[in-house]
This record gives sequence, structure tokens and C-alpha cells, in this order.
Amino acid sequence: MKIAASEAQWNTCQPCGFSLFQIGGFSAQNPTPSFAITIPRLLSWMGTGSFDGKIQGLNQLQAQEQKQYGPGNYMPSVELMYWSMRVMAMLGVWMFLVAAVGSWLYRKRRLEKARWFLWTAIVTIAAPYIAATFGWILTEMGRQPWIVQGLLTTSRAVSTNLGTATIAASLAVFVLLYLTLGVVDFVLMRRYARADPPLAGAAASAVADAPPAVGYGAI
Amino acid sequence: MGLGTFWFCLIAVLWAGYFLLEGFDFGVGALLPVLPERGSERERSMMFESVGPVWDGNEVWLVIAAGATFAAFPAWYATMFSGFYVALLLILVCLIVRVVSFEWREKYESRRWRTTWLWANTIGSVGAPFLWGVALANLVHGVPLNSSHAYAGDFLNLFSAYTVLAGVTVVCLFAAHGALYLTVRTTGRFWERAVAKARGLSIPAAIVGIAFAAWTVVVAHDRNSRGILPTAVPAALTAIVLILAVVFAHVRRNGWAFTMTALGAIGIVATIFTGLYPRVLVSNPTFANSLTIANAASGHYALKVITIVAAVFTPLVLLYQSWTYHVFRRRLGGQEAKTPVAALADAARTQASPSP
Repeated sequence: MKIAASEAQWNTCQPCGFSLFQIGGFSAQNPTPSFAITIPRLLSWMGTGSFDGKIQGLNQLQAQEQKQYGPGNYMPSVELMYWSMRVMAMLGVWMFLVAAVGSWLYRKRRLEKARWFLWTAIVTIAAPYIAATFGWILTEMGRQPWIVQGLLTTSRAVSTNLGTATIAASLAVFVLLYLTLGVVDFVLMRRYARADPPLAGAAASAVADAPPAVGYGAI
Repeated sequence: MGLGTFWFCLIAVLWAGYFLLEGFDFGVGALLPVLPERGSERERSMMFESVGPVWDGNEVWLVIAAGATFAAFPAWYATMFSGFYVALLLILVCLIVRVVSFEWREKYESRRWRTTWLWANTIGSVGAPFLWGVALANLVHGVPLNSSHAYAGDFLNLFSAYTVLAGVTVVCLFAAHGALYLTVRTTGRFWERAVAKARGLSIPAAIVGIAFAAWTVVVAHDRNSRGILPTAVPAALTAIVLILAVVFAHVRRNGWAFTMTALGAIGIVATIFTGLYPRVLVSNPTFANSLTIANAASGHYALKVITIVAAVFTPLVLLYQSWTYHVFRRRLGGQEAKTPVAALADAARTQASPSP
């Protein structure tokens, strides 16, 4: 179900193309995208290891789960799945490209001079975090409506003694706390990035002289 | 002894380990505003450094205690974590702010910045143990549970004279424990101050500790239909070690006094869990709704699997934690701590102007 949803694959296909980008096609009433860039046979290979493997579609899986667990909607949000997967995977490719271009510039001894690349690299600092976040969205939203596949639905797993207000308040506390910490962290990193770089030899000796007590790593 | 009882004991051991270890770093945090000489940045940094390399390892005991509860007693975990939701949220905020204070305080020289993170650490180091004391005391004191063992009270239900005394006890005991930790980890003038403070703090810690242990015997009898004797034994031992801590602190046998407050931290947990057995969360007013080891435990197969996992990994964890303490065993004399940026700048200056 997760694969079918993240690929917006409404009906079982064989062989299946991998959709790189598409507009529309995210609801059962309107399963065909109005525009799509598709790589033929790639999804079959990713899902089964064979270029003409069969991938089950959302409609078929929905019918099958209804037969197994009773009436209900067993599909996660298809549009959210599709884009979480795309953002995660494309940022992965992007990071690889940045690393590759960086290594090439380094070999050519042009790394320090290429301002455009340095700026790109700085922006890319955010990429792993964003990719990981969308990966979590993909995996956690992808198993809805189940919290344990086939055994327990999320709606039945909710705490009975906690009101929506309590949960909302706790979420607000976490969001505010992490937002504040994030801003402060950004300011600190900027400060450190702007400090004058010391001479290469001095940096090495300073690190070597540092007492061991300073050395506890980040969480 | 069934696997359920074994895991009940193991969770008690994990809490005891958490109180023993994180106890002193909470204590050091609580003493940050009062122990260092007025305005002495050097002594404050010493206190941070004394627990810097070990506090996060100590915190792992808490994570494992919660994880073990989840794996071995899912019903207990479910009721406790939903029921104590607001309290646990506050504990998390305390712990998060405290973690950040360790990492960020030394990253910037400004006085206001450092004061802010010092207080963040202190608030976290007082708030979290207070709430843990309240939460653990509530297990045996009893909370309202309905017939499906779900929590039927609210946040304020968690506070009564007994549970607040538990919170105060844990904070006072940790403060004394932390001061004694500093007496075995530092030297020089700061050491003198730590010794004096430990002497003073050991007395209130013993008084509230003994009062709490005695009250736990009564609460376990009244609300958990426990006999007096089983709970009285760990309570009496706790009282004895806390009195010994006062005696040792006053005759300047600080290492022994530290051992006694460590045993006192274990004793408090042992008293609570002995009073709790064979239940894991007492229900009050409807005693029949209590969660017990039997009705809260996982299936036998799950318990067997996690027993094997625990048997393999516990020795490993103990080994690397002892290694950390061994690496950082040297006493702190109080050399000036620098931010990495300042250290780099200094190094650059020495390099730029070659010494004659």
C-alpha cells in the first residue's frame, strides 16, 4: 500500500513506469495525471527487481484489505505520499550531485574560488534535514490508517483520558521550544562561521591542546 | 520467580541506577547558582566540566527504564504515559533545556548568555527530579484508574502532601549527592567550598529522606495492602545510610559520604518499588482496578526475547559507562575553560607573533 500510494499507482500495472513529476492524478475520481514525466519500467525494477515486475495498485489493495478487515478506507493520503517520496529522493540526488561537483572542484583546486558553489553548498546544509523529515512523513503517514499494520488502527490507539486541547497545547510547547532553539542555533552557527579562520597550523595545535573535558559530542 | 517479576525488579534496578548516576549531575546543576564563589566564572565552568562528559550517559538509564517498561509491561506504560502526560511533558521540557545548556553555555562569552544557560540548567536540574519524585510516589500512592485501567484523573491529581514530599526528598537528596560528587572530583579552594556545602546539605537530605521512607511504609500498607515488614526493611536501610552520610560528611570522609548518598538514592527507589510489589500502578479509590505485574506484563515469548537481549547488552553498557568514568577520573583543578573560538584565536595569536 505504501509503495502504491507513494507512486500514486491507482491500478495494478505490469510493467510499471516511474513517475518523476506529475500534475493531478491524486484521487480515485481523477486517477490519470494531466501532465507527467515518466521513466518506463523503472518502478517495476525498484519494486520487484525485474523490469517487468508487477506492482499492485491502490484500488486493488483497498478491495483486498476491505475483504480482510471489513469496510473502511485503507488508503493513506496519496498526494502527500507522492510528494514526500519525491522531495526525499530528489534531495538525495541533489546532495550527491553537490558532493560530486565539490570533489571535482577540489581536484581542480578551484573549490575556494568558486563562490557560486560555496553558496550552493551552504544552502545544501538544510537538505539532509528536510529529506529526513519528508522520509519520516512518508513512513508514518504511509502506514495510516494503521498504527500496527493489520492489528490496531490509529483511531483506536488514541489515549482516552487526554483531550484535544491537552495534545494541542503540548504540540504548541514543542513547536515553540524547538523553534526558539532553532533560531538560537542558527545565530550561533552564523557567529562561528563569521569568526576569522585561524592559520592552519594553529588550528591543529589548538585542537591537540584542548583538554579532554571539552569533548562531549552533540546529541 | 516468573519473568514478569524479574522485569519488575530489573526496572527498579534501572530507576535506582538512574537516581544514583543522574542524581549527582542533577545535584551539581541545582547547586550552580549557590556553590561557586560570587562571580567566579572559573568555578562555574568547573562544575559544568565535572559532569560534562558523563551526564548524557547517566540519562541513558532513564531511557532504558522507560524502554523496559514499554517492552515488558505495555499496559503499565500505556496508563502511566497517558495518565502522567502533562507531568512528563514538563519533565521533557526541563531535560531538553538542560541538555542545551551544557552544549551552548560555553559557546559564547557574554555574561548574560552564560547566566541564562546556568539558570536553564538549574531549573531543569531541580524541576526534572522533583517531578520524577512525584511521579514515582504516585505509583504506590495510587491514582484514579477506571475498569479498563485507563487514567481517570488530571494533572493536579498527581499532587498530594505525600507525593510533593517525594519530589522535595529527591531534590534535597540529589543536591547533597551532587555536592559530595564535587568533593571527590575537584581540588583546591573550590573543593573546600564543596566540602562545606555537602556537610550542610546532608542534614536536610537525611531528614526529608527518612520522613519520606517512613511515610512510604504507611502508604504502601494503607493503599496497597502491603504488610509493614517488607517495606520497612528497605526504608530502615535507607534511613541508616542517610544518617551515615551525615556522619561521614561531618568527619570529612567525603568518599564514604558520597557512597552513602548513592546508597540512599538506591534505597529510596527500593522502598518505593518494594511498597509497590506485586502491583505496578495502584488504583485509588477503586483498588480492584490496580495494574499488577500479572495483568500488565507482555506475553511470555516477548518477555523471553527481551530477557535474552538484556542479558547480552547490559554488560556491554556497564562496561563502556565505567570506561567513560575511568577516562575522566582526573580531579579538576580549575584551569580556565575557553570557547573553541577563543582557543583558536589564542593559538593564532601565538603563532602570528613568534616567541623570542
